[in-house]
Amino acid sequence: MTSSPAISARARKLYRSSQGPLIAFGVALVVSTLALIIGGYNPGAAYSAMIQKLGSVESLAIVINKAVPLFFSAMAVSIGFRMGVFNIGVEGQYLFGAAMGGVVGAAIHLPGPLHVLIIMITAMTVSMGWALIPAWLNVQRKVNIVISTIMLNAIAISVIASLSKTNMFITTAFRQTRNLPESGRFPNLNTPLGWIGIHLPVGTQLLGFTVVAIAVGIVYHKVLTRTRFGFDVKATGINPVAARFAGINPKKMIYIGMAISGALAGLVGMATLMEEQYNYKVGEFPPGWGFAGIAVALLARDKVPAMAIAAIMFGVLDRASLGLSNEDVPKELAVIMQGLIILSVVVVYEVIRRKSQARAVREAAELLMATSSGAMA
Amino acid sequence: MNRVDVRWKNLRASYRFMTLTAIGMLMLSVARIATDAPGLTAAGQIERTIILMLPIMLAGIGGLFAERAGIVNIGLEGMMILGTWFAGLGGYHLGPWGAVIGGLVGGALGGGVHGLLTITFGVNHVISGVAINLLVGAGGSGLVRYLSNLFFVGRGSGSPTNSPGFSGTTGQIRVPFLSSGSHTTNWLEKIGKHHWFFVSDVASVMNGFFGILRLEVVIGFLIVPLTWWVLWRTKFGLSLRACGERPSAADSLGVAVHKIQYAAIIISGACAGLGGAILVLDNSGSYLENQTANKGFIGLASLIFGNWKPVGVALGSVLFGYTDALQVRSTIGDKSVIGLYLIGVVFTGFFTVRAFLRHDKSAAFRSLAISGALLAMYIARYNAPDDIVKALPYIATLVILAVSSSRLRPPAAAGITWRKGELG
Repeated sequence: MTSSPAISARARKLYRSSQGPLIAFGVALVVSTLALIIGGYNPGAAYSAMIQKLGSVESLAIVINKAVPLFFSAMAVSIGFRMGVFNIGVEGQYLFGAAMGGVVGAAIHLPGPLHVLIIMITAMTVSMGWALIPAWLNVQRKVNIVISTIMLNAIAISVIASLSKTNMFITTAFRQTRNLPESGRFPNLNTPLGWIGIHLPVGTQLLGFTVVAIAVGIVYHKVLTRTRFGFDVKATGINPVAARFAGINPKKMIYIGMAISGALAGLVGMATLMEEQYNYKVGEFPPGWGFAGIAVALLARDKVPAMAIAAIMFGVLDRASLGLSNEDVPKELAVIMQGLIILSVVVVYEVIRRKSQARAVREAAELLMATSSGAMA
Repeated sequence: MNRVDVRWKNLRASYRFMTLTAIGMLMLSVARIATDAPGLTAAGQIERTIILMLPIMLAGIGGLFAERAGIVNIGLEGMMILGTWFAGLGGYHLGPWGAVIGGLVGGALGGGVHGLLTITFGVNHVISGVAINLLVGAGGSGLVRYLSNLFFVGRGSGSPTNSPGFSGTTGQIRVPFLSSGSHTTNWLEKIGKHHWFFVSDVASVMNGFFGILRLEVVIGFLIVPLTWWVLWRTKFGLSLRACGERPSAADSLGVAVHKIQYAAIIISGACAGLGGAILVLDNSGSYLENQTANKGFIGLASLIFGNWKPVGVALGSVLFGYTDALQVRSTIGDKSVIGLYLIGVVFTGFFTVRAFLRHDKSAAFRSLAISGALLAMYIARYNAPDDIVKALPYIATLVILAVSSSRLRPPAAAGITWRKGELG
């Protein structure tokens, strides 16, 4: 024993918490290699093409840009997971929020920061409202949140589609909102990057929303781990009955949890709206982040720093998959890898959990034996 | 009123189903005449309804097998997608029956994975289901897109999002005097053309039914009574339901809980996959990405709506399939939706009276308010936008669950991972 016990405990903890994702990544690598071999491709060439695609500053920026919405979405999903409520509805919530943010943002004219703030608040409020419907249905009418959020995803898409034919949107066949005025756009980080000597190629930007993502991530992490409320959330998830006896109102928790989840979902589409597309176009505003967020949250086990890492990892896979086209490999390989990582990570986590539970039981039994035999002697 | 209710509950499920169908028919007939919307009972509408309801019903039946055995199956959508993809593959290489078998196998594979995760590894059922949907590619690209690139691109009209179609069908049952295409006159069609109250509507609906008796459709329909028989009249069914209610009790009586659960989840996936195969066969044998359009999820809703019983699932899927079929018609300017308001008024009116007789004033006012709103929409002949009509099945699901959730009774152990030696 050369190292101090504190360091070795920390190392063991780090090892334990990263064990799951590492094994999962290994499994995904093995299976997708098999998939490549079965498909008649050269796995070595495919992987090196993927890695080559990553080797530039440009790629780094794009990876982070892809990770930003995923990170918000994962945070939105994970508060539900923490308290045992499955909000599958982030998908519909963020799309609805972004559409309404686009409508309101194009209709008003305010000084820069205020304009941006109004757009964000609009989107967050709309998404939150949409998330509160399943909360109300669950609390008042005992409707399962998984089912109601799935239904509300489909309803949100229909509602947006029908609104897009009214004069809230451009009343033409385009089915898109008017473009945001200059004051409603969020600045990117290219200029600050230039100050420190990093110059991105023309046409590439590092989203300014990265800063918002980091800030929200820190606040969210602190709230969940350092406040009474965060403890209540955790307690509700681990043992709802005990939580109730401790004076936590489960109905209130469902409302608050879904409200926070919805508000975070509102931020998912903001970077795309205010920094990339400047409007919401039906069919072109990127879908799927709500579901991808579930994957990221599952991978990260609801730990906020891990969520950031997992979101970046998904971004890496997405970006790297573009290199596959050089080898004529379908780029959906990345999606399969993501799916496989998720499938194997949930299994690995479950196995680890059961093992550590068995160990805890054994240790407790040994302790009991030792103390009781000591008492007898 | 209460006495009638008790008797109603004592009726056999099949009689209740028939009574409800008759009432529904009568109301459709009234609505058809009152709104002058022949589309409500047109044979074409019924044919669409059947094609759209069957996958929903099969997904629901799949969910029934799984949840009755104690396994929540959110992955039905993914399993149905696997069903469509493998049906496309099987159909292209082996013809129509190859598609049916492909659908069954594809769905069963998905079910097997869900079983491995939930039964063997004890992963949370919802998480496993969501993960399967993500992997397969619900609502976007995924495993199926990759596989399509390998197996469909470069073959006939195949592309990353669709399989090359094939010609031929599994065959169609033609009943003399009742369906077109046989050598006799189609009496049902003749009667349907007269627009007589009720009689013509029934004839027209039956005409739609007999017009689409393709073999895969017949198989799909037969699965409902078969499911009832298996689950409530065989030893296997009793063991299966015991696993869903109290696995430790089943185990103590010598039931191999995990084996039964594996069988149940594989049957569950196969049912959903068969639903996918029906969609492929209806699309002239071609698999299309996103062909299932959430039918697996709606099937799950019909399972809940049907209170975890086969006849209830069938009833729920008729309802969801019918609204789904209406949106297809509303895109061609049919006014059938307005007729539905009227039916809604009658239904909510019934609930108002019932709640009033039971002295439940708040419930009575709620129903009355909804009834009034629907009546206003009917009088104004408010033609809902297509996109909202498209969302009708989902809205209907939410409303129905909101109204009826508290009287539903899911299997007691559904969603709980059970290990040998544990209580539960």
